[in-house]
Amino acid sequence: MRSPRELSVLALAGGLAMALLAGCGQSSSGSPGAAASTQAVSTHQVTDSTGASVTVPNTIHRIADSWEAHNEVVTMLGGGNKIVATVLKPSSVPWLYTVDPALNKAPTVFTDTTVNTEKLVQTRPDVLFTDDALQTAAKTSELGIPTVQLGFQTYQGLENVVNITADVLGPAAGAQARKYNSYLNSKLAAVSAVTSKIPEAQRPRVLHIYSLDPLVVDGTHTMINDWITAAGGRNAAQVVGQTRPVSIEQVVQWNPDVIILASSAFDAADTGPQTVAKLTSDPAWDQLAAVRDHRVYINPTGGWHWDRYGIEEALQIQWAAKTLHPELFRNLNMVAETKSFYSKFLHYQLTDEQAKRILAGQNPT
Amino acid sequence: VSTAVSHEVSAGPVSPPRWRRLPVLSVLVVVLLVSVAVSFSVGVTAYSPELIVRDLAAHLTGHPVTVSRVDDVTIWLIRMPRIFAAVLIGAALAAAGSAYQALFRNPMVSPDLLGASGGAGVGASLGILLSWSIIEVQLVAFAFGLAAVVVTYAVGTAVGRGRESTLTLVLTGIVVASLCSAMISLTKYVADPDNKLPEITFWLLGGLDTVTIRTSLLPIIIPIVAGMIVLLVLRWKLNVLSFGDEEAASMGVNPQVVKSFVIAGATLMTAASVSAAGMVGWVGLVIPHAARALVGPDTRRALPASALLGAIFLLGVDDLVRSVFTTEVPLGILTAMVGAPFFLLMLARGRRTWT
Repeated sequence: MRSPRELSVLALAGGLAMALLAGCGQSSSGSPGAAASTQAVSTHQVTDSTGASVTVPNTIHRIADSWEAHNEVVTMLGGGNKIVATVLKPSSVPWLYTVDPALNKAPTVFTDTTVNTEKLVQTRPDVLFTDDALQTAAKTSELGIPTVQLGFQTYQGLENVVNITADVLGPAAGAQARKYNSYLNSKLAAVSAVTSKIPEAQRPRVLHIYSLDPLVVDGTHTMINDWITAAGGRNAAQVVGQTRPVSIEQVVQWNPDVIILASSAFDAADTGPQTVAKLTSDPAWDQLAAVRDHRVYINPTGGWHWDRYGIEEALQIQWAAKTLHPELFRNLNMVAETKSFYSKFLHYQLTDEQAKRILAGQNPT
Repeated sequence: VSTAVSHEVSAGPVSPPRWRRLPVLSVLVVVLLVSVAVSFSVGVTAYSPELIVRDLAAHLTGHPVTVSRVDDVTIWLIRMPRIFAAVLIGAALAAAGSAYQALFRNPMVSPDLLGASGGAGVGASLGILLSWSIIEVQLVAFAFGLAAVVVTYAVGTAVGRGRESTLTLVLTGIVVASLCSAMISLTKYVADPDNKLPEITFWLLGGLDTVTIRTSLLPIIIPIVAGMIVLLVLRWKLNVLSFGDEEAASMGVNPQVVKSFVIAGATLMTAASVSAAGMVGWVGLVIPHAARALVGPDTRRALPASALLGAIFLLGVDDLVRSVFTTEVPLGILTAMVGAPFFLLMLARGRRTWT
């Protein structure tokens, strides 16, 4: 039934498979651990957001970061010029590249879900920070890159991520982390002290729009909900979770008092005002209280989107409080506050003009 | 349904062209070996054969590694598992496709016909949605892939009787696959668009970049090798089946038993492949055609040729992914972009024998 030649072909193919199998078996037993540099230098243990214990070198020279918002955390903690591989592109966060021009030298080796492993290895990172939702950690750990998985959903979680990152980067970063966390807490406390006295009926119902087409909003149990509440508002969106698709009918029913547009909601090349103007003239929208009362605002965007999960949440609560309740926060000067934040935490002196552009959700000139 | 396979088989004792009598299988084995060797040297950085041999030899013999750390990690921990996975998965999908095309006597059949890929996709999307680890995602994908085919087979055989049983099975497969795709859409709809949704989308498009030795590769070796052995052992009986169930029965082959074993083997291989690499399309559809074009319709030769060609094809496409694009492009996109024109080309070339 089978010719001898066919049998020999099968045997050859089988032999090849066996040889490769043997190779795999070996590597799984003798995987060469951490990066070569760490064998010579001292290391310490860090517990990441998943609870895993990761061994990292005491001195970090080269950082890979596959979580977009976290690149700014690294920059704040003094590691900005050590980033050698990133997920960012200058066009995605132009302000961070303005504040930390060294980022321009770091190649983009990640997408939001994948990593070009060969390019990542060529950059010889001492540590990799990654979003704990990603599935790439198993692969990068196997390559001997200490992989710190991070994630947060609350202000407390944000503090933890800042602290874990500081644990990796060293003592100088620790001091900066404490400074940031105390700033975040003091601002949260100061704003809440004013807004907690506002009766429920006077809290405007705020709709945070992530995207207009398709219509996507942020619901409860999110950080967006947290800053709306802290700033003295109520989330108008009666859905659970971030970035939920909803219908315009639902929005009409919620009839929000205030609408805040994320920069992701802008029409293609628009910087915001045109999108706001379009809403005002759209019959589906112009009957909403927020549109009628001209209470449609554009969310500020700096090194990361203020409204989303990043360190500039500390500024967001203040901006949102002043936006929702201007009469209660007359003394809060957001231009000055933004400049002071950038100077203190990102070591960059913004001009008034730059601070105003950030507050208007516009890119650097 | 008048089909290519049955046509070609029933075309009778026409002697094949002279070149078909060349030892095609042996040539394919050599091409595969050369492709594997070349694949080690292409990528973000090109390596000399000497360096690759030095690194691989050190690992295989247990001697100390003498190449630099970056080169060692790239060759041994990135390229070796990917190359091995591409060979294994390419061979598995193409062999399963070849077996199905013979079994169902239909050239438009691919290994996900009975819902294996769809089921695996549902399992994987659920796993990603629930933030499970990569190994758990893979296991649940594998389990759901098997479960989908079991459902198809159970319903299909219960509903269909006699001569229509194959058609009923195929139709049930289409129903189950559609149901799976609806469930995948549902998980995508409820997934967090910031991280879970792109993760699911990428998984569905397929890729070998996150293939690790321990978590991805080792678990799929046994099902794929087991399925391959079943198909290789049964490939003569598949030939007999292509004449029709009654003819096969008259030749002493029990069509139901052969069918069950072939479906089980092909499902093991497909579910395992999809669980590790995501939905890599087109390999199981196009490669069996190419194999038949090379060695003729005889399943005894077409099936191993299909496996070898599939391995070579997927390896080549993954080499493209690794070396041409700076960021990772989903493998499934490229297999479709390379596979579809290739399929059209074969349609154009093969028209005379098909009509």
